[in-house]
Amino acid sequence: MSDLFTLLNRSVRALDAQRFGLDATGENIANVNTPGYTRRSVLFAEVTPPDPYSAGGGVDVVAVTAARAPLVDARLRYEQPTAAREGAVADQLAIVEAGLGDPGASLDAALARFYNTYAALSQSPTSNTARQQVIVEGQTLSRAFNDMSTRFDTARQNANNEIRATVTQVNALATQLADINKQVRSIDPSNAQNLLDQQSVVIDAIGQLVDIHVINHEDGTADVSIGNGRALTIGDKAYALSTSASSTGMVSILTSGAAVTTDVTNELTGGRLAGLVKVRDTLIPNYQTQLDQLAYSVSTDVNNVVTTGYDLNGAAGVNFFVQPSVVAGAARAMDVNAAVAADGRLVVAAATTAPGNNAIAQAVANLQDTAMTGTTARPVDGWGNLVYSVATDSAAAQQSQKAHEQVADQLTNLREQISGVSIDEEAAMMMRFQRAYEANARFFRAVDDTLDQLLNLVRF
Amino acid sequence: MAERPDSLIESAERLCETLERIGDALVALDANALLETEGTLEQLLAVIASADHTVHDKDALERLVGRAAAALVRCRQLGGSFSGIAGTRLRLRTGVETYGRDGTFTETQLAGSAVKVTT
Repeated sequence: MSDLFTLLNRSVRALDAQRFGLDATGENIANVNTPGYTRRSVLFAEVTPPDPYSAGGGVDVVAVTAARAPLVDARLRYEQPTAAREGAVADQLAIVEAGLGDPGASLDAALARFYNTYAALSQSPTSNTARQQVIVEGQTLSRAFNDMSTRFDTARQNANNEIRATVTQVNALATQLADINKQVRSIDPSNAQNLLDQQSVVIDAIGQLVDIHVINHEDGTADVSIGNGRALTIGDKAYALSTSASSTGMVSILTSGAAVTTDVTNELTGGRLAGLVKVRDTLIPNYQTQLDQLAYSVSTDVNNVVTTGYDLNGAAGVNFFVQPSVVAGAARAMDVNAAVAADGRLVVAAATTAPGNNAIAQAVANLQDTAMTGTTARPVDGWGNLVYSVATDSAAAQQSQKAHEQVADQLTNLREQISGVSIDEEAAMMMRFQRAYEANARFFRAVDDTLDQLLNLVRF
Repeated sequence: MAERPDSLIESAERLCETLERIGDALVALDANALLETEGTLEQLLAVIASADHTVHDKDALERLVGRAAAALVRCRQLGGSFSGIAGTRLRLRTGVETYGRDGTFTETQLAGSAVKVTT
C-alpha cells in the first residue's frame, strides 16, 4: 500500500513525463521548417508498482525517438543525386543554348549571307564591290565559326571550374560528416537525435554533389563512399578528393581513400559532379565536333569548287578559305585565305578565262541548297542539327530533373506522413492511397489505347 | 447526336488536365484528389471513344496527345515509386504481403498495434 510520499513521488514523475512530452511537441513545432529535422516522439511506459498491493507505479519516459524512415531515406538518396546531375546538365546547357543565338540571326544567317554574296557576284562577276562583299561575308562567316568554337571552349572551361569548386564542397562536407560521426560515437545514440539530424542533412548535401553509398552503424555513425566503393568518410576520418589537371587544364577527380590514388572521374554516375563531367567530357565535345565538321565541310566544298575556276586575272583559282587539314579544330581555325583577302581579284567567279563568265560564282551560291560532301545535310541544316542537338539534350535534362525532383517530393511527403504515426496508421494511410492510385491506374491501359487512336487521327 | 467540331480537342484537353491532376496528387500523396479523378477519367475515356472523330485542328490535337502521353508517363513513374516503397515498407513492418511483385493488391488482415507512441 502506498504512503503519501510514494503517491506524491508518483505524481511528480507523471508530471515530469508529461512535461517531457510537451517539450518534445514544442520542439517538433519549433523545428517544423528546420531542414533535416526528424519529428521526435516520446515513448511512455508504466512504472512497475513497488508492491502487489499498489494501484500502480505511475508513468515514466522510456525514450525519445526520432521518426526516421531508412527505406524512404535510401530511396531519396537515389533520386536526389540523379535530379542534381540532370540539374547540372540543364544549367550548363542553358548557357550553351543561349550562346547559339536566335534562329535566323546566328551562324545560319552568316551562312546565308555568304552564299548570297556569291549569288550577287554571279550577277556582276567583274565587279570589285561584289568581290569585296564576298570577302567581307567570308570573313564574317569565319569569325562566326571562331566565336562559336570559343563559346563551346568557354562553356567547357566553366564546367571544368565548377568541377574543381564542387570537389572542394564535397571535401568540406566529408570533413563535417567525420566530425559529426566523432561526436555521435562519444555519446549514447539514443540521446544523439540532433546530431543524427545534422548527419542526415550533411549526407543529403553530399548526395546532391556526388552519388553516394551510405552505411549506417549501430553506434550512430555513418560511412559514405562514392563511385565504385571509394571511401569518402569512414567513421571520424574523411578521405579528401583531389583534382589533377591535364595539359589542357581539364581536371580529373582522384580519391585518396586507398593506398593508391585512383582516378574516379568516370566512376561518378550521379550528383552535380557527374552532370558537370558529362557536359564537359561528352556533350560539349560532341557539339564542338559537329561545329568543326560543319566548318570543315563548308570550307572544303567552297575550295573544291573555286579551285576548278579562274580569277579575274585569268589565273587558276586558289582556295577561298584556308583549307583545314583535319576536322578537329576546323571551326576555331576557319579564315579566308590571306592572299584572297588582300586582293579581291583572286576571288574566283569564272569557269573559264573568258571575262564575264560567272559559272563558279553561281556554283558556290548553289552550295547552300546542296548537301555537303559526305553528308545528307545542306550547310544550314548542319547548323540546324547542331542547334537541335543542344536543344533536345537541354530539354531532356530539364525533363529528367523535373521527374526525379517530383519523385523526391513524393518521398519527402511520404516521410512526413509516416513519421511519428503508429504502424496501424501508416499501413492504413499507405493502403488507402495505394487503392486510390490503383482506381486510376486501372484506366491507364485504356488511356494508352485512346492516345494511340487520337494519334492515328492526326496522322491519317 | 453529332459532336461539335472541336469537342474532341476539348475532351483531349480535359484528359491532359486530369492526368496532370493525378500526377500532382501522386506527388502530394492526396488520396482524396485521386479518388475524385477516378470518375472523371472513366467518363472522359467513354466520351472520347464515342466522339465524332472529325479533327479540324490536327496540330492542336497532336500537341495535346504529346502532353497527355508525358502526363501518363509521369503518373506511372510516381505510382511505381510509391508502390515500391509502400509494398516493401508494409512487408517489413507488418510481415504480411500487401502488394505482389506485379503491383496488384493482396487482401490482408493487419495485426494490432505493436507500439504506442505519443507526441
